[in-house]
Amino acid sequence: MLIDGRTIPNGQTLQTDVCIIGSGAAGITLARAFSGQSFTVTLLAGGDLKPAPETQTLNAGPNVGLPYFALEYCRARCFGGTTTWWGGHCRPLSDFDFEAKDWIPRSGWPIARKDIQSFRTEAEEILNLRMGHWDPKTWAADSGLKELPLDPQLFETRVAQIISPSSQRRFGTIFRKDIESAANVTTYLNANVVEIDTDETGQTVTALKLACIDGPRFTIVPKVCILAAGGLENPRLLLVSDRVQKAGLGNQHDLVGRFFLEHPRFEAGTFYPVNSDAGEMLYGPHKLLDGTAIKSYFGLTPGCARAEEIVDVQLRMERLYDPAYKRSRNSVGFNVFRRMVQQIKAGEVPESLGSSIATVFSDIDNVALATYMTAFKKGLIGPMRLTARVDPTPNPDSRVTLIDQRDELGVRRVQLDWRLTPQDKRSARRVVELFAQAVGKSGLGRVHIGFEDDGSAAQWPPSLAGGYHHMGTTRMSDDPKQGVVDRDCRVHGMSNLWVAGSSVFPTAGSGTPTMMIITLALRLAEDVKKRMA
Amino acid sequence: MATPTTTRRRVLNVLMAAGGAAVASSVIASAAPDRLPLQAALLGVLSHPDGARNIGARYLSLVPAEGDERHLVNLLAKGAPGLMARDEARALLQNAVREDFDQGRTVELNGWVISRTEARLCALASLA
Repeated sequence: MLIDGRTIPNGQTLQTDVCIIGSGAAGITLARAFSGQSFTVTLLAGGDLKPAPETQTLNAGPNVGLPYFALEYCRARCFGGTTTWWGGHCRPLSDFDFEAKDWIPRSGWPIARKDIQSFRTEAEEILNLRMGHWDPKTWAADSGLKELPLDPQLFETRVAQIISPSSQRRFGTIFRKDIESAANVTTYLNANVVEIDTDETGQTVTALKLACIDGPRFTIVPKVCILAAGGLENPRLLLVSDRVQKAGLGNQHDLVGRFFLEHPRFEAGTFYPVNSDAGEMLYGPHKLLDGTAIKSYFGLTPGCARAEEIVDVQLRMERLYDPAYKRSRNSVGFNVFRRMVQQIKAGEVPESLGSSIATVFSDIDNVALATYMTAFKKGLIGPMRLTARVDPTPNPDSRVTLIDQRDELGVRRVQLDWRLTPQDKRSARRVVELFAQAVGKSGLGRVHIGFEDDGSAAQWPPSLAGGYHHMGTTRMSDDPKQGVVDRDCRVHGMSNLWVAGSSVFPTAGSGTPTMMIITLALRLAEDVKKRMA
Repeated sequence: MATPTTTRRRVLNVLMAAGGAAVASSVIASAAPDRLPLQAALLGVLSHPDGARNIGARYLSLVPAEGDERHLVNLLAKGAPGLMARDEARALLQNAVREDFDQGRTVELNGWVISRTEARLCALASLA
């Protein structure tokens, strides 16, 4: 059942067994896993079925660290969460990702990959991926695409599957019926938690206070509470809930909001291959005949990373295009032409046919050039851009904190101070150097490195960006002095409060977060079901 | 006027001439059978010596002890006799480049990661 929270009478109190705050990948996975159980479940969405500007503003806050995306649009605050905007890249974490590494402070997970393997398989099924299909050799054999023959002692090829088409990534769409039809699950839209209240010991959640924009305020009383609102909102809600625990819930050791992790990526250099067919190798993106899409990367082998004592860095090769080709492909005429072709292929009559044709003809030079170069692959030029993506060192100074400014519902906003470490930059530089030496040794070409390791963690290439991956702000550790949640994702010192989502990741890892978010949510669901039985 | 892209392409051609067999044949000025003095034979491998000069100058600023044409020719020719055909020079350099990468004898100059032999060839071009 889906209910608009704005229709709840002001001041009402609702009872539930399990309340899930947040309806993104984690929240919807949990709710689906609880479907059909004997306990009642309440799923809360901070927005409507689609993102809207007035609800997105609730996410807003300043960035004071490295350049970053506007927080307002980092997360989709709606049913389905940020899967609404997700790029669909899936790649699991490796065994090595889970290991503690003595050269990386605070690395390692309290769980190993084997502890989550069965849930990972289930996650692959949910995401409709080719299950267990992560070996580049298998993909190379299936696709006829080649791996770059680098020294296998140094580099490994890593394959990510990309969920395609994009409509298959939107949890709010594809799982809406499941959630709506689950008799024991009630979803409230536009229902924002503004405070998590506890008993006077501060150890048990007793009530969730909710508010709707221009609407009622009401209360939910849960037996079990699962915070699944994302890597910025999870710490925010814990920190603002300071009525009893003055530093915020789970924050007795000043860890909530610290260790904010992203996957920094930036243009690290250019690979000049000897043979022009490097673009036809596995390092796509490629859409295969069966519709599966993949993208591949280079990463150091665990042995090499250990010997070099560096953090994990992945390199992606991107084809570069002739500037004339880029210009013509981005032209209005070609884009209108392309849309017309797509609509005709789909058996539809192109919208505004007359004006579309006029636009195409008025820009016919660009349309002709882009069509010709696309058809005959003339747009490609030899060099390939190397983009580095770093699995950064956990850094307590990289953090989310509350500021005095409040949102429309009266909740204090967060400020993001994203920071990296000199070790991150040193590692990225070293990996590009090793790649350059490896391609030279293999006779594949030469590399021009596009950045220096100046020892500064503050200055990065201007292309630095994140991946919209918000991790680490309620990190997992068996030691309450090192983590906010335990290995079962329960908040240390709390009896009935769990956290789901990538905020529990103690390290970012070489994989992509969403699949791991779903994996951990399935594991948590299993745990909660046992407790509720 | 050379754009940064064309300059990079020239540099690449220079480097590939020394290191990449597949490309080398396309960038060598000609496969003249005549035997030339060593320096001419070595430099004859380069199709765009201009593109090599910046890199060569950078190498010499880091290794000033090698800033002598005769010394560089000796290092590159490895005791070869006084005359050499361009094909022989090319083969000699290609082997040396391969050995450099195998042995980890690489240098980084202006962002390029190249073999020491390639760097020395560029240095020779910068002095010529």
